[in-house]
Amino acid sequence: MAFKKVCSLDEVPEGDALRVELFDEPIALFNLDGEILATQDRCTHGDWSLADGFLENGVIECTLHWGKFCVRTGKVKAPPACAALTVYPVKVEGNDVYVDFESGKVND
Amino acid sequence: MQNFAIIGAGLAGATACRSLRDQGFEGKIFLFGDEPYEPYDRPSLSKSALATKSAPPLLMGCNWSEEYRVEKCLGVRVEAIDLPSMRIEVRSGSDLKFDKLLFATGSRARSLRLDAHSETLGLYSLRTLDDCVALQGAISPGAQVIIIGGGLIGCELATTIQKMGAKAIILETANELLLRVLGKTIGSWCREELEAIGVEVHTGVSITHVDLDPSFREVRCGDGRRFSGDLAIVSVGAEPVTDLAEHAGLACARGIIVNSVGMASSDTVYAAGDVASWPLRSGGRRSLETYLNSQNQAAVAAGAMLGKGEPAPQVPISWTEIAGHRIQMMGEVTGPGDVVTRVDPGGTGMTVCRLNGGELQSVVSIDQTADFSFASKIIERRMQVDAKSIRDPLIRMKDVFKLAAKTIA
Repeated sequence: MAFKKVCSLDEVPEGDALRVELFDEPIALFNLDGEILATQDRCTHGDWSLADGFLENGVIECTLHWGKFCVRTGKVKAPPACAALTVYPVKVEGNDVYVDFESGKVND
Repeated sequence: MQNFAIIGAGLAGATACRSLRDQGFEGKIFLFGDEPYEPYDRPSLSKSALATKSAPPLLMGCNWSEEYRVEKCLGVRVEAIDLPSMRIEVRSGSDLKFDKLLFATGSRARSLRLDAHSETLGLYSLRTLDDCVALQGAISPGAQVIIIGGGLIGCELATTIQKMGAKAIILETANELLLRVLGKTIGSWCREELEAIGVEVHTGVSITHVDLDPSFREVRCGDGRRFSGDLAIVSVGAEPVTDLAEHAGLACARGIIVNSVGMASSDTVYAAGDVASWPLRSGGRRSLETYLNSQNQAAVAAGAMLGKGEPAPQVPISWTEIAGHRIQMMGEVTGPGDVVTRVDPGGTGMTVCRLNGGELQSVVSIDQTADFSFASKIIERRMQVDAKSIRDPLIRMKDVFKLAAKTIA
């Protein structure tokens, strides 16, 4: 378990997303009503950034083919995507956001 | 038990199979495809599959037909459809009785009108995986490739051909590339970008004669100009494949005429994807020739086959990759109102919007996926937007959307 600081809280305003390239794989941070969640940034369907996508009701929609994922569980919410996203543990301390990249997991 | 037949195993056909099961259909599904391949990603044929001389990605997982209980009839040509007796005839002589039928036959590449003396050896087109494999073999580094037609496929091909170390020469009849789909601003921007990667572009050219056998290697224009090349690819648009439907007596006009749930003249026959002339939200109807609209139509038509289709007049939405740029588009590019160009202050991208009466009518984005994502939602939901913010490139489309959403709430 190794949490690493990835950004400050005000870089991810409510309802917004941020792409972070600090690990082997880019990650996307989402702010759901004040709660920060992290998933892999690359859509599992096409090579496309999810942080640019459309976030609503906890679901991110990829701008390329409209695949949708739950940002909390990583699970697919709409085709053509069929593989779930890796989700990463997040903790927020003060204004700092930390992500544990090694503990990323895919929910079945 | 009911038998549903789907003719055409491309994106629309495959999506319909999945949608039927997802929506609870328990009967039998027969999927006919005249290509002998599993459903594959057709947009890749002009891009990564050609560039890397590899197979395009498959649309479905490896055990999809077992999972979705689909009877695949791939490499099987449907010869005729008898609507009164609800039968499909295939070449082998056997036939199938259906309860509901979906046409997903797609479109074919339009061919060129040439004079009678043209020698068409060395003349290629690109629509199917076999076409792509033929081009993979024909294009070698250093080759001179003439592309007849500067629309989306022509410009994608030019990009890929340069990537393969060959030289692309685009010949376009109109006075700018991509006019029909993307409009003049983006069209001329793309021409400059293509020229910058080494593509030669000639506009205002109408091809009347082709001689590509090894001794001549040239195409000739109506005005006498000649262009030499090792091979030529015709990319002058697509035509819906309506032969079967027309013979069966269905109303067709550049596509099978369907209503906004994809139903043709009776509630036993439906169409989705390129073959369907589907109603548009902005009025009128046409075959849309796009991935996302095909996918949406297939899901809607599948629902309608089960008696629960929600009317879905379409807004065209698509994307392309030209000269290393990702271009996304939604809505009708031409029409009334103001055209606003938002140039990305921090990069090379831009977004061109058409705005009419406080409503965003169309958006074309170059390398601006975040802006496009929110602009497309604004169009989809017909939100009233603040024209001043649309005109200010420093205001993100995300914030325009948030403001518009707040106004509604």
